[in-house]
Amino acid sequence: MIRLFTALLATLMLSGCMSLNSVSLTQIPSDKGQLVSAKAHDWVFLGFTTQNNFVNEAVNNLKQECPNGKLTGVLTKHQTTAYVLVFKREVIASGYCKKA
Amino acid sequence: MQKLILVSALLLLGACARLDHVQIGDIDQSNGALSPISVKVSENGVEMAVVAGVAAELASQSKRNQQLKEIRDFLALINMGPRTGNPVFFDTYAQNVLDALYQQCASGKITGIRNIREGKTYGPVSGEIVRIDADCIL
Amino acid sequence: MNFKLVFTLAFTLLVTGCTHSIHMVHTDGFGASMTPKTESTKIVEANSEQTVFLFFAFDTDYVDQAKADLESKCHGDLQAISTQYSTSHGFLHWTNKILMKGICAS
Repeated sequence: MIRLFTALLATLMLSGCMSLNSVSLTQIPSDKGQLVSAKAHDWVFLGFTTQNNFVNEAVNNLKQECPNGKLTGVLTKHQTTAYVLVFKREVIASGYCKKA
Repeated sequence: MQKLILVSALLLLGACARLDHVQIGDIDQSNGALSPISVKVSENGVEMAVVAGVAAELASQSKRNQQLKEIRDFLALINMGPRTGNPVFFDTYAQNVLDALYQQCASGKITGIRNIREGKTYGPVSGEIVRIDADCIL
Repeated sequence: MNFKLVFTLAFTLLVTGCTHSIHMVHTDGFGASMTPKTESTKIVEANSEQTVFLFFAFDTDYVDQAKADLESKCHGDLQAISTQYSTSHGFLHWTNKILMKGICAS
């Protein structure tokens, strides 16, 4: 019984509920390049955090995926996964990289 | 009084960053060097109904408690509508972001625009922020 | 409800009268073909709104109206554009607002 309870509790704590906060997409030309993606996240305990720096991190990661190129069709997802008492905030960005 | 100090201290210490909305635009790194630019505007936001609700919880007299609850309900009625973060008293604070962004880039060519709506929250009070980060093509 | 409460409510109404909420500001269109700021570029703007009573709204045509209005104000190239969507709160109703600004190169 204790094992079952522990297993249930562990499952509950490890499986998060995900929600989408915002989404956007930019124009996609017919002559698109290779699909690249980048993401960044931070962990928040009880909603307490003082910064949103992970957004810049996601953008910098995306830039690094396409040096000297042009990124179009940028899909941005800002999502939150809620675990017990803890939240994972995440920005996932992808786009088509056309090298110069 | 002790309760009030405790709640005030918690509100002041519990400054939280809130992220409502992020949009990343096309990023062009093929037309020259990039220089980061940014426009950030903000306005004070306050959720008066929550303030009245907290005050009602703190009120020791039942009569005062009841009055504050009525004020809370009244405030909720007169400020109906969808909201992002806490309501603000002036809605003109973000109307010049386009001009400000354009002025920061002499070539006029701007790429990698990040439109961010966020907030710094101190309990029922907050700073409601509109931030546009971008790169100017030199 | 006593006099003090009525007075407090009236005072609160006066002080907090109308609150607002900016939901998003979106800026786009400064591409590689963008012209630098000169005398031939000017900023044009258009706004429109929709009043909603008790959650009853049947269209979002006010957004298209703002766009059409913005286009009519620029006879050249309408380049970078910013779009602001906000709401002004009220008693049992609210007003959705769209503000669009663009850089017009003629």
